[in-house]
Amino acid sequence: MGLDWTWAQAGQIGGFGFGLVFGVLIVLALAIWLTGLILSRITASKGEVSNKEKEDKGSNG
Amino acid sequence: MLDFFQIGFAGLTWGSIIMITIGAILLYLGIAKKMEPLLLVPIGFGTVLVNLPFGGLMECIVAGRVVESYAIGGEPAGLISRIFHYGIVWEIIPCLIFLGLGAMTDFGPLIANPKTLILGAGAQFGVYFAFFVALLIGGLWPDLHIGIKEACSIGIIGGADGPTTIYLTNRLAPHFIGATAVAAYTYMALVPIIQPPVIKLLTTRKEREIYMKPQQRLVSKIEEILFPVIAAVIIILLVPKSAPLIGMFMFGNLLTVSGVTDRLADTAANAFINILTILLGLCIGAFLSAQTFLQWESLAVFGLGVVAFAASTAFGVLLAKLMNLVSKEKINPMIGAAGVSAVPMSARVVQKMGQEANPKNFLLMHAMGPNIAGVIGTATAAGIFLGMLG
Repeated sequence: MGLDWTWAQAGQIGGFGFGLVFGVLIVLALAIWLTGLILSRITASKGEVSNKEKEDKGSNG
Repeated sequence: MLDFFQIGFAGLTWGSIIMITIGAILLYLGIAKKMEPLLLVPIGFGTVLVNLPFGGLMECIVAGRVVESYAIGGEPAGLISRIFHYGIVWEIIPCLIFLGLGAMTDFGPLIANPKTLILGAGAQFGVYFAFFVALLIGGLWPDLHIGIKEACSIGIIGGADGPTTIYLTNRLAPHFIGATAVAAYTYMALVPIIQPPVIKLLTTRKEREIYMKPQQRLVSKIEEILFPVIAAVIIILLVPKSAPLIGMFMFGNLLTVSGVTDRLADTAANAFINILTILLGLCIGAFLSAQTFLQWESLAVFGLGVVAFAASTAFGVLLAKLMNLVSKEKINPMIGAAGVSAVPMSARVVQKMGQEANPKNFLLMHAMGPNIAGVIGTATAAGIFLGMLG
């Protein structure tokens, strides 16, 4: 046929390429989820600290 | 005396008449039917202009001779050939359009539901499917000269992302840039026609009726600000060649979400991207000339482009159905079709079909997640192709 490529090369590009796209987007999804989780924990703990301070002020007063 | 004054009628050929008619049809679709007018009007008019003989809009000087159509390696000498050469061949317009797109994009639905990134990845399977089909066709018909690089350029059309298609084709197979750019933008404009039959073929009525609760979790301001930075760093570290597209996309988004660069964001999302769209549309239309487009290679690219696009739609839907097998909360599989990067056209198609199946369903924001993920996925796929072949 005189092609300057082989199906093995094509398979490598296609298979590895698609796998990498999937991998990159999964890593990104995990990073976003983790960031959201960390930020919500920080916000929640700030909320707890603030509530505790209000309770302490209330009981002292 | 009349030698230098050429009357255009003398240069009209059947090919140019056909292409002028096609340009007129694109104008009709854009103006009368209001189908993606921002794309079809400049493309349609560019098509008409370039097929009017002796206008010189796409002239190029090659080895001291003036040729009528753009030639790689030549010196551009016409109005549109200069815009094309310095804007597109120099990779400026596609990347800057991504900056404007980033400024216009709301990543909220994606941040609220990160697993929609997987649907964006699924739709990229269509890119690779079309890559293999293109190679098969190229093997069967060697006269079409479809090798690995050409197949990558054809496959990426499946991502339905015009700037990414142009960027990749310019690097890997610049001789195909006219056909792939026209195919990508035409199919983006024809999303409402191409996607619904594919979606209906792969879903049952019951699946299309699956209700998804409209309320997604609220995304905080700090998440919105962190997202473009984190995304750019992660993607570019893993796929360095995606830096121009992903970098510009995330930079544009940061301008909008930071809250401190409103003037810049406003310009990027409005005047800036409008200027680039006008220039890009004219350039694409100018490639619809009889001598460059009415070739078997270009027609093959156009035909394979629809395979790529339909395959991406199909695989997005199938992946969503697969996710339903393992997920407690069912997702409407139609949102998988929005994993192509035609933002927001694809999401709107899903919204419309969702309402037809179940009037209580409001799928737009659910579909925007995979839709935006598709943009990231296609740009990443292009970066991977470039990393392996560029």
